[in-house]
Amino acid sequence: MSSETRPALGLFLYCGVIFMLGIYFTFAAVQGEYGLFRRAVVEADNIQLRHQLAELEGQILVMENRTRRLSDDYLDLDLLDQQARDVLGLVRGDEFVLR
Amino acid sequence: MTDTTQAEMVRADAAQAEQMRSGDGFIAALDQSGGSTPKALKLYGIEEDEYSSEEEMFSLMHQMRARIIKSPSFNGEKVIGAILFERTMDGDIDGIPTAEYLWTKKQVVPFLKVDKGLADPEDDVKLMKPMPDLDALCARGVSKGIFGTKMRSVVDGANPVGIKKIVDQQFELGMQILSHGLMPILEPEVTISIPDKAEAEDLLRDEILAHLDALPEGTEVMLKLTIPEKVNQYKALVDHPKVMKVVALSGGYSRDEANARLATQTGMIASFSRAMTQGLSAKQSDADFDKVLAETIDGIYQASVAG
Repeated sequence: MSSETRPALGLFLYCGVIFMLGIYFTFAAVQGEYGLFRRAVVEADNIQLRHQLAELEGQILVMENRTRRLSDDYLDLDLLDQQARDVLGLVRGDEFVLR
Repeated sequence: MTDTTQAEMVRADAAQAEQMRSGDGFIAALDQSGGSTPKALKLYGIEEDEYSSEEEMFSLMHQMRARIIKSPSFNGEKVIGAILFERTMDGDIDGIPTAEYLWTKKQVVPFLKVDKGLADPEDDVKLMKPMPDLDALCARGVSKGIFGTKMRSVVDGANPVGIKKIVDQQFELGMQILSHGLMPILEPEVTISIPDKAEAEDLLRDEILAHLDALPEGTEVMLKLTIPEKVNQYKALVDHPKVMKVVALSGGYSRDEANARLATQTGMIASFSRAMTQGLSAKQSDADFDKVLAETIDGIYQASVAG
């Protein structure tokens, strides 16, 4: 193998390795664990979890409101009547319920 | 019914209407329905082992109620109206039907709570359950000296479809109540913890205005609305010729926050649906009992007239 063919082979190998690395990193950048697709999935999860958080916080506010209005120093008679009917199934003797 | 009694009733109605229209003060809620009485009695210092039957429980409840009504500080100067539950309307105080006693002895205008609970949530609102016996109940109320009624439904979101349904139902039943000569208090409560409360209140105000304009001339209704977010949010309703009075419900705001917010709403008076049992006890002497009740009434009264 003359001296001219050896440098051409070396260059080829060098370019080949660089090219393979390029493909690998491109693939990893798109498909990889920390790639674009993964980021899109994570961002979608983030949005969904934020909605869920807002909904749960809303429910907490409603429950806090009800707890407060049915507490010892703030007994809201309307809410008490509503809960007695909804939860305890209260019906007056002279009433009939249409379902 | 003889002419004189008829004439007396007409005169009483006119005086009651005038008190509601111009009276300074607030509307109290006086009562419990069956399922919630043990809770109120416990607050009043009567434990569950101190009564053995439901009849005994209601009797104790009635004694507490009568004691509040007969207290010197409970009169029309500060408490311009009282909302009774059905069972209270059927009871007597010193042999006089409760509603009649409230007006003749105390100059407190009696109202009757007529709704029978709420339906399941739909379109972000909870409508009232059907009231097939409303006509009979109103007729009974008229015979017992009731001046008006109150019915509550709930708004849980700024949903135009739901808000239209809730106002439609309130005004439809309101017309039915008006046909009996009673003054309906329409109460579409906006839940204070919803994120879009201000927007819901705008939708509600506009929907109510549209329904008011559609009412026949000379008709009047009363409105009970959650204390709103914006200053003078319901001024157009307060000034409307077909609205006798707009009263505010606190819906869960603390007393200080409710008072501060109410002060920014000109023309709105308070209607606290809170039990007035706070600080009252069966074991107190009459003097102590009257003193605590007077303080409670005065506190709420000051908030009402601050606006």
